Amino acid sequence: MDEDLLIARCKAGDEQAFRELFRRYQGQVYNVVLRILGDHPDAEDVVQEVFIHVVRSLPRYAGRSQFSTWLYRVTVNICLQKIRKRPLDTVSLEVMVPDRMELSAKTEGPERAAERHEIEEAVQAALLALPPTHRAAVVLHDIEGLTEEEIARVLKCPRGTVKSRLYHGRRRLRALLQDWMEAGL
Amino acid sequence: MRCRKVRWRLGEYVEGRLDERQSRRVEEHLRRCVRCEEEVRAARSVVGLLADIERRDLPAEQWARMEAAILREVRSPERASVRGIVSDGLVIWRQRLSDAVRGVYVTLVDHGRIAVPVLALVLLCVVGGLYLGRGRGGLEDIRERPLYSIYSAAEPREAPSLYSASPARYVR
Repeated sequence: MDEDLLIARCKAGDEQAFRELFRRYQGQVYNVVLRILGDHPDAEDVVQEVFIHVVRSLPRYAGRSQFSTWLYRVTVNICLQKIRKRPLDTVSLEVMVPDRMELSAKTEGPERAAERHEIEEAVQAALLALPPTHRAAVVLHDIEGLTEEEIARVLKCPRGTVKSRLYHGRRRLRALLQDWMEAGL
Repeated sequence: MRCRKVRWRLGEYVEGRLDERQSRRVEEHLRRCVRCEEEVRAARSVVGLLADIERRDLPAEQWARMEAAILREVRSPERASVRGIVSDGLVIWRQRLSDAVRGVYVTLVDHGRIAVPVLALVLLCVVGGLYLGRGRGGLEDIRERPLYSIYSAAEPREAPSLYSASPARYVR
């Protein structure tokens, strides 16, 4: 179904249309929440909260920006609210990026899968060490593949600010993941 | 091209979004500058690591449970309370304020070479203004004089009144 029609039907209160919208965007929202909040036990609750907010705010969505941009904005805002409400849970002064273990980078099979898992853990830990707004910019750009202009619309800030957050965010990641990058992964 | 400009365009260069001319200028710089070349290499590695992250998913039944829970919640007549809306608004404005402060900080750090002398000049002007204005009627002076004398050196002949007996005085 065409997205505009789907949204119009959702606004009119069509549950079937909402189910379709939810299925279309559940993965996008879930992955952004996971990367911004980390493997948090509340991640699924946050996804639920995002979609409840979407249903309630949809009548106010005027269609000036793309629906996915609006949805990213809702998602990021709710994640940032969560971080602000319990800053001590998520902000640690000492970053616990796991060390690189002596695993062969070239092997395939279970060992390679284990290593991939480790890399992902290290990257996630490093992401969590970034200031939340820098983290959001990096996640949206380097993982979700949004352009700087799109991120500026999502975060409601100038493009220069997005650029600066990306630059500083990546710089910090580089320092934290030095060990992994030197291994040539 | 200088290091600062190259680093500002680093992301676009790594992602291949610069036009041919700009890209060539960056490459020319990279051939001469080991530090920027190292920055580019490291940026490529970070972008590569992030791009390799696998997308996660939940089992279908978990999504179905979540979908049902959302529909249950939105079908209920209770809507977001006024308190909730106000609290959301406050959070957004707090975020905007902190973004603005951070923006100023980042600008100062990024453009330190220009910003520091400008700030020093502004500070000098303020301090100089205070110093020069010391003997020429500061706050104490103003407090001692009647209010009208702040705006005019001459004493008013008589306070104008809407109900004056001689309205001709105000025609002019």
